[in-house]
Amino acid sequence: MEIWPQIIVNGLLLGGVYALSALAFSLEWGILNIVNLAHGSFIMLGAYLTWMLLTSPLHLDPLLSIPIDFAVLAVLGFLMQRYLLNRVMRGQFFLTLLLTFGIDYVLVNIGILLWTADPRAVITSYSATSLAIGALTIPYTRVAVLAAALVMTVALARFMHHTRMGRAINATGMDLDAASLMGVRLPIVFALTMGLGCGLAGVAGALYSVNFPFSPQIGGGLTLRAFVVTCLGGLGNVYGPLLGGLVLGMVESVASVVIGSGAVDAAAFIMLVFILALRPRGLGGRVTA
Amino acid sequence: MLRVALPVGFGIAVLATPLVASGYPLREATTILMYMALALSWNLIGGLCGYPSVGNVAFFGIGAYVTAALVAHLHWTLLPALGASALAALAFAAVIGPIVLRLNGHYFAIATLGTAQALGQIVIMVPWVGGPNGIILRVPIGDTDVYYLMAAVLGLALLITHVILRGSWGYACRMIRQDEHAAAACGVNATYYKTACWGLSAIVAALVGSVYAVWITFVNPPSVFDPLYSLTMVVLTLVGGAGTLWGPVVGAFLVEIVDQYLWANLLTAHTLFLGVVIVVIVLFLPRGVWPYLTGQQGLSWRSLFEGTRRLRV
Repeated sequence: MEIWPQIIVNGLLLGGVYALSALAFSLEWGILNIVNLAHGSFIMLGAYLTWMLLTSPLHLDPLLSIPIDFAVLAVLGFLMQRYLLNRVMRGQFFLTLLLTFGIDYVLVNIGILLWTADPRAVITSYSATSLAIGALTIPYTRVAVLAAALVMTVALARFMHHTRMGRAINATGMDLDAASLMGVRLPIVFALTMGLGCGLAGVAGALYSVNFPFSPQIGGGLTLRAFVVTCLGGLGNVYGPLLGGLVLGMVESVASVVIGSGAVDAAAFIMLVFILALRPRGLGGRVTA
Repeated sequence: MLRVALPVGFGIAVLATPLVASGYPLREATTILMYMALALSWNLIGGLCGYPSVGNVAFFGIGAYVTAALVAHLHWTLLPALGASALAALAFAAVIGPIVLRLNGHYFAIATLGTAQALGQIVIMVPWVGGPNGIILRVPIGDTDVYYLMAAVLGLALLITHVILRGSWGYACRMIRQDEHAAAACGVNATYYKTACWGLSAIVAALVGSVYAVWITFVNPPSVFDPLYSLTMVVLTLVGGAGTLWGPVVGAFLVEIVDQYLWANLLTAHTLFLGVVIVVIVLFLPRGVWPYLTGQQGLSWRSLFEGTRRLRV
């Protein structure tokens, strides 16, 4: 079959999208023990911010809007954690789950009020261009996502292990009270972690917008896939999302050809339930209390 | 006093509504009863046992689809179709329960969500039930009959919850919710009790789905596998008070009244409202409004901030 090399390349490139969008979700879950159901909506906000900057009089290139997306969403995430989520951090996990669900609902509806439910697309001069190697077609914008996923993952790993702030974040993820006794200011570190996560979601949103059309409702599907990716890659490992993302991208790419494109979602969900049935903490999951 | 007056008063109010209301108001009342029963369904697994299912819409959808298929394709009469729907949902719960009930916390929540989503997607691919087009069914039944059917399902849900809460089963559930390992160490068969609650939750949601299908006369995957149903069940229960008998009923009543008002007057605000309600409830009333109504908790400005005082960092 001549199409198989293309299917594998497509899977890898799709995996880059999933890896990048799950990176922040996995960080928030691993460190804060929050399953951030609003995660996909932060990606959506990043995509719209890029779109607004491009269509504004500035005509800012989507790739140049990445730092702006990161900064704006990091501030939003910081405020959300500092003033809403920090209030219930010691409660049952279900409170944070429900709170982020409520926030997600608010974000989606604000998105619909501001930008309507019509799908938008970010079109640039390099949008439809691609690299051709023999029979293979590789769109440049997808390569950019995969590259960003790799760079962001390595940068996050170095940040977490080699900076004072990264170590403080890691320490709170390991033991909240012990970290607090060592002088880590929990409310601030939690808020910074969520800020970092939402900033990364903004980066993912900028790159999402140059690859796919988007509407305010894209968040739910992205959050679910981030969950699948995190379960696949294992919690508490910075490189987990990269591995999980590439596996999911490959499975979806193959499933869309073998079973049909309508079955892609079902394949992802069924895979999730099977993984959890066999390994209740995910494939590479650590055991926590 | 409250133990007798409340069920009797509520029963009379529910039974008497069709005498004074018809047409649109009666359909609104049916909707409220439907959400009360759905909230009680979630309460059985999420409120009593502390297993936060976000996929109860799967049972609702199974109930709706089985009834629609049996009535429209196989020409069954209504009551056998209702019974078959409940059994089908129970069978699905029995298959999926041993897998998902091993999980806890976030993993349980997302596994149930994934199960419901996958089921909705799979139904689209089955031509016998109409694929994406769904099924149209015609049952010669009036608004008042539908109302009383829904009231009967609600009564069943209340009865089940009452029986569980009254006896040792209720204590077992409370122990499972607070600490499952400790419950097991005390000799409580946690697997047995939580699986039984899961099955009963499935039966109630499926019966509601069946009556809904007969009422709306049309089912398709986006309408009866809408994940919004799962989430609404959770919200209504938490607004009222999870793990109590009347909390979900009160929560469903309050939220649906406000929601229907907003839906009629401010269409764009009504989903935004649901999100804001969730945020406010989690931050200020983590135990719902029921403790305030029974006087367990005095209502004061400070008590709103007491709720999460010990939970913050």
